[in-house]
Amino acid sequence: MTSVEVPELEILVVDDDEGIRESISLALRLEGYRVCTATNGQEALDVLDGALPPKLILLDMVMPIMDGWGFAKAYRLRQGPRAPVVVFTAAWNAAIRAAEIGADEYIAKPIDLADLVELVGRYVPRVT
Amino acid sequence: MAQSDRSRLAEDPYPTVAAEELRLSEERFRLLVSSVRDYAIFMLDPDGRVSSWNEGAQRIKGYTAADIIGRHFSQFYPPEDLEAGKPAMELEVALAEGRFEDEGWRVRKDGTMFWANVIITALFDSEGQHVGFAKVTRDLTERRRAEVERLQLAQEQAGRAAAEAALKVREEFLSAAAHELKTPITSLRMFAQLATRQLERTGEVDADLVARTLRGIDQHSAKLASLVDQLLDIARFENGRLSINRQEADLVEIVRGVVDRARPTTTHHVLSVSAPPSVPWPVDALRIEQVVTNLVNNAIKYSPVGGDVRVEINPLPAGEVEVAVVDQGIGVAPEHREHIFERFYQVSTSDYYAGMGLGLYISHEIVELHGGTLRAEYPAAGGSRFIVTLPAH
Repeated sequence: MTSVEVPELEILVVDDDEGIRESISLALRLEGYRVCTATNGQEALDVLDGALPPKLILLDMVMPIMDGWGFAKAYRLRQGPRAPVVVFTAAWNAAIRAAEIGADEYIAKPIDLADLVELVGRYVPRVT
Repeated sequence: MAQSDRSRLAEDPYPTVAAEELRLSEERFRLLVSSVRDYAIFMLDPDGRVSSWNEGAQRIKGYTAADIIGRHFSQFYPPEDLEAGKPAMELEVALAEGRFEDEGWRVRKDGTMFWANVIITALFDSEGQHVGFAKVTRDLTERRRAEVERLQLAQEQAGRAAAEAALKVREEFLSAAAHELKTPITSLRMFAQLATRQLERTGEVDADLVARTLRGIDQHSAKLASLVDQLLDIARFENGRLSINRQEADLVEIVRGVVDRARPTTTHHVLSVSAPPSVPWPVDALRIEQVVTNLVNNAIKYSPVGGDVRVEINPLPAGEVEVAVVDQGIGVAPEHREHIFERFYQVSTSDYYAGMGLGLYISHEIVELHGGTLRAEYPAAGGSRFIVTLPAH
């Protein structure tokens, strides 16, 4: 479920797969990041509602209720500052998928933890 | 007509002129017919013997007038047509209806065949007496060859297109299967790497983290194994090697077992079973368990906000039993409904129903191997109802 009680969102992980949400958020928390999760695009929009934008959104593409395309479209229409979006996908055409929704970057599944940490570090100053 | 001709006609004695004109006219007509090269134009007597021959006939059929005049026209036909009595039939039709037209193979003098368009017209004199037949034959071999080639080409192209489409489906399936496998692999790698990273960084991993990562690895390798099993099942269906071993088993026990195992996988669904105390039924217990597991897992997966998931077992009067899995989830969009049991359907769509294809297809096949049916209903109130019907025999 959503960790809406996190006071300041730093990284929002949006994926319908429970294993991926758990492993990625655990890995990033161990790196010292504040992470919250959402299971689909709609839940992500709800989390972002009324909060300051996170420093990074990690977005899966294929999800129920609202997929990555739907989320990106709705998020772009929002007023005010927006977080960079990095798509993570198992699709072979990850670059195309990312371009389709105007994402800032993509990372292919299965994700290499070192690559993920390096990528996140570029967007989010490390909290130590 | 010029004035001088008119006066000449008026001056000449009529019968002589008419006879001469007729002779000239017949001569011109004979010349015309005899010199036509593209059509065989010849006459048959009432019995079907050749009585005149033109250049076209000689060119197309290979006989000279001396070869053929007086011989029966049936020698232009291949043996199977002769056996079927075709030449006589054609003359009968021409006589009865005035005309007969046909396309078919005919034989040349040298024994080679040509594709002919044939028109036979019955001829009658001024008293209405049948005097024979006029036969006009065209050689359409080239045209037919072109048509056959065009047809063959079209068939080849259609065959190639079908083969390419089948190949594309297979490629897309492999790509979708690989995509499905990557999800648990991603979790496995993340759990393994985060423990390793922690160990490398601090020289130790705390017990809680070890427990979480090992639990994650266990859970997601099980998911991976089940995906691989699904792929193997599909390969078995394709080879016709999946066999069902039906023995009496209690459906209620099977269903309760599935539901009990599914309960710990969710915190926000209420799972229940509505069934008589026991329903002994001839089934392949492991395979039916696989079907119910798939349907219950789908029910949980496709009702992401939670709700009731109920499995009903209803013995039906007609010697059948119904196992229905009912959820309050997102249902299936109308445009996908007729396709959800199709093999490979998951690859043809980029939306969320993607992952459903394999499991439902396999379940459908298993139920059919039992002689039963698997169908879905979508109640107006929302959610889905997947219904397995199994016969007693």
